[in-house]
Amino acid sequence: MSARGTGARGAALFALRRGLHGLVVLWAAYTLSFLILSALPGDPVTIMLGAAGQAAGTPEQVAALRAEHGLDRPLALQYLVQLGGIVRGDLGTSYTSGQPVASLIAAAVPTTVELAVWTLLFALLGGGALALTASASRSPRLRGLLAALPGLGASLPTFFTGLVLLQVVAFRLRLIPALGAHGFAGVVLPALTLALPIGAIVAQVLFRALESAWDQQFITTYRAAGLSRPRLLLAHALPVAALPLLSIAGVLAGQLLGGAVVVETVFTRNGLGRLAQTAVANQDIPTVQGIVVLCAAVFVLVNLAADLLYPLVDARTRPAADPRARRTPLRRSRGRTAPQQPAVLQEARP
Amino acid sequence: MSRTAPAPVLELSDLTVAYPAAPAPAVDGAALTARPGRTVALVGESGSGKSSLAAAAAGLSVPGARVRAAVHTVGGVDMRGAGQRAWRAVHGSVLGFVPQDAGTGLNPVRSVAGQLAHTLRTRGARRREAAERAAEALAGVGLEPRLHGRRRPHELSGGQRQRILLALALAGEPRLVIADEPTSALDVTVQRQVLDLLAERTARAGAALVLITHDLGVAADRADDVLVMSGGRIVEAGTAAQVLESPREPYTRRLLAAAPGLDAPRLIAAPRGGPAQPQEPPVLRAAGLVRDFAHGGGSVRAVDGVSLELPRGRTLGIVGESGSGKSTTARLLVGLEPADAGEIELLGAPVTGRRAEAVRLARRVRFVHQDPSASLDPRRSAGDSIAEPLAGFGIGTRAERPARVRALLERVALPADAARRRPGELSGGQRQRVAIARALAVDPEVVVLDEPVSALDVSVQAQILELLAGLQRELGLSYVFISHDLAVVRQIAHDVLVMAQGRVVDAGPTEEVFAAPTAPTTRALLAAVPGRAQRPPSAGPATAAGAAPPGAPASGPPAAGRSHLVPSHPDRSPDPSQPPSRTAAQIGAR
Repeated sequence: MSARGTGARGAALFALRRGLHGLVVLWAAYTLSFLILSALPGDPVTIMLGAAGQAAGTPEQVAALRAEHGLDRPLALQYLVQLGGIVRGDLGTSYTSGQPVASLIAAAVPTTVELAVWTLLFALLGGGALALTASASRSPRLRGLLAALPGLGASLPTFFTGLVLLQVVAFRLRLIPALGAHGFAGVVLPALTLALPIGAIVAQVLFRALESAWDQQFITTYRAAGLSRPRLLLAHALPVAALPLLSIAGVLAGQLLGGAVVVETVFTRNGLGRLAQTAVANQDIPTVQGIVVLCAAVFVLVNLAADLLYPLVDARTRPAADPRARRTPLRRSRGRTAPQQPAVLQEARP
Repeated sequence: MSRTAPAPVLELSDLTVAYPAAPAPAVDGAALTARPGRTVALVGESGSGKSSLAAAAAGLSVPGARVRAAVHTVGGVDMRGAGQRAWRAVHGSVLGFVPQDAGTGLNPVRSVAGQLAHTLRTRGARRREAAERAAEALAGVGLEPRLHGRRRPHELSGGQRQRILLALALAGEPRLVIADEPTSALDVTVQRQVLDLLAERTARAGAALVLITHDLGVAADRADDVLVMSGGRIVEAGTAAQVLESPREPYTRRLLAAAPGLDAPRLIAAPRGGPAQPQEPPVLRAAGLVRDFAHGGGSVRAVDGVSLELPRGRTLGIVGESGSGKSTTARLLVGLEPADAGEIELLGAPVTGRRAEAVRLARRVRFVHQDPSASLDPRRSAGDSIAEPLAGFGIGTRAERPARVRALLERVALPADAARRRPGELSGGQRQRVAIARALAVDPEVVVLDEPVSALDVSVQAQILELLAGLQRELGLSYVFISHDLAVVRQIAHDVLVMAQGRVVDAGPTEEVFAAPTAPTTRALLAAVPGRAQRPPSAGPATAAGAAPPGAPASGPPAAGRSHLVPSHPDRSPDPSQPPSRTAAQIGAR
């Protein structure tokens, strides 16, 4: 049995196990949001009637609507029926618009994906550049200043930065139309707004990782081999320091989806975030549930992808192909692996 | 020193290195001269400033360090106050630096051949040429470029990693090689191979070698000149013969006395067929222990049918290279690890895998780890750490424990106020004393010590060994003593097991096993003990006219100062040139 074969089989088993975990996460997210939504005060039917322009419907109308949406059934049954629908791929019908939730979501996704792609690009470039500049700077004062910036960026609320950007760039400078622009002009301000907190996380994580990579002995090894500081940083510190970014990919995805609610509302973009915001305001339970399940699925998939990518990027997390090779000290594979033999005389001698 | 001596490639005088936070300079007025073809050993205990000196000499001091020197030339170029650019011109091409590999000396995420090739490319080699030269460099240190080149550092053994660090340092054909504890983390046999390689490569290139080491045996074997450092100063300097055979300074003499050799006085009374011991059953007995570890697709047998007996009040040494299964055996004996097969008998009663049994075993058999700074909770005071097993086993009341802790501290010769201190406020030796006191807290029968002195300086090591021997005499303790250091085991152990690949390959009373080893592993381990190997031919005095005294140390009779570094029974000891000398391929396959 070749090593490659066991590796591929191992990866498949791992993906399967994580896929099952993911299904449990989806179910839990669904159930939790169902419980929270059903515990909300206020009656969806009243809101529906209000949306239809009727201040208060007759008891017959209310009862008819209730029966139509299955709201007259006991809560447990409602839960099971909706869950069954989701399992079959049917997300139900929106209470407010009467359209299938799936098509509402499908219409909103491209707008949000556009926002997410630009946001990630800005965040990675900006955050990465900031972290690298801070690490590369030899002046302690500049370094301290640059290292303090991410904290500031993360602490500014997005609705505030969004409004300031709109005010300055669109209204004062008139560089970009405030609303209704398409393509890059339309997405640049919301993406920048959302990239600020996410880029701040990227910068913070990367800066810390670069600092700790910089203190490792292999940097001394290669400094002694005659490599310049930029080379050391880019060729040796960065590949090691970029790994933690992969581990926080899930967190970033969560930030992105959560931030989209605020940013899309501020910039009136018809994306998933705005859809979620209006659906929550109208207690449009099927739509909210659909979005929750979608977001949970994204979260699960991003984490799964990161876990599967990790061994490709960092060989230390791969199960050793060669049994004679040293056992990996990081992340032990399932089952028992031998403990590391204590290295003799490892005490650092300053 | 001589009119004809070649120009030095490294010259330092009145070197001072100070760190901002430290009250005293780490290096205080040191001088060092390294000439082509010669090896200078810089020896000293931890904290003596030898690594600070090496880093300053190589222009690799940490940021913030203040380095000043009256003279500092590398390859004839004045490096006083040199900036990064000036050092970069020297690094790699004139000066090769071999760091101490604590497993972190190489980039963990890039293949080793890739790292080598990248470094060569930064010196102007084209991509293909760099790859070819990287392969040559790997072959030059006894590695198989195709097999090992693709691997990441963690997929290689410690010796292989150290070879790659050598390849990296030597790739630019430097005239000066500074090696900072290059083999401290390696087994003796691997250490010998790596040092042989280093000596051979530097000799062939006619380069100067500055070897920083805490191991006087290594210095005795390898160096032409020896500098002894203590408290940031060079306290004694001279040829290896002068310094190690007739040391002038009391400090050097103390260091030499503390260094364990294979004929240093033993710390244990050797009751040769002594008083009626055979009648008493052994305290601890194990038979046919087996332990497998899942690994990759299959499994690795770490311990393979180990049987042992530990009579009361005696010490059983277990020696072997890393990976031989000695530590796993220790963990099986303490119940930290379940055995897949075999049985353990404690005080005549069999120990089964049941939980109650495990608790009973844990109370009677205590464990002391190698590194006390890792085995003690850094946020807990020494007293709390010592009292912890008392609370865990429900011994005594809360009110009685402080008195018990004081008694235990006294037992391990620590002052009573040590109880309030945290591990960070104690020295390495004091920390190990605390760990021993903690093991003794529940009055165990057996203490299993896993490399208990390996992380300590020789002088501290000697004190801890004396403490252990004393405690054994007073309390009738029985020890299982795991060590890679045969000299230490010889000092403290009545009986010894030699392990290789999970099996016991040699066993018996320590003196007999060491005097007449039957297994090749034992012979190899004995032959590799530093301080007794033949002087490598490369360090011949030809290139260093005048500096080497007639009659290099290897040929002269062992004199007073270093006599214990040299085998006292050359007739009975194995010939160092005997097998097993490995071929490059075998080494590579390790």
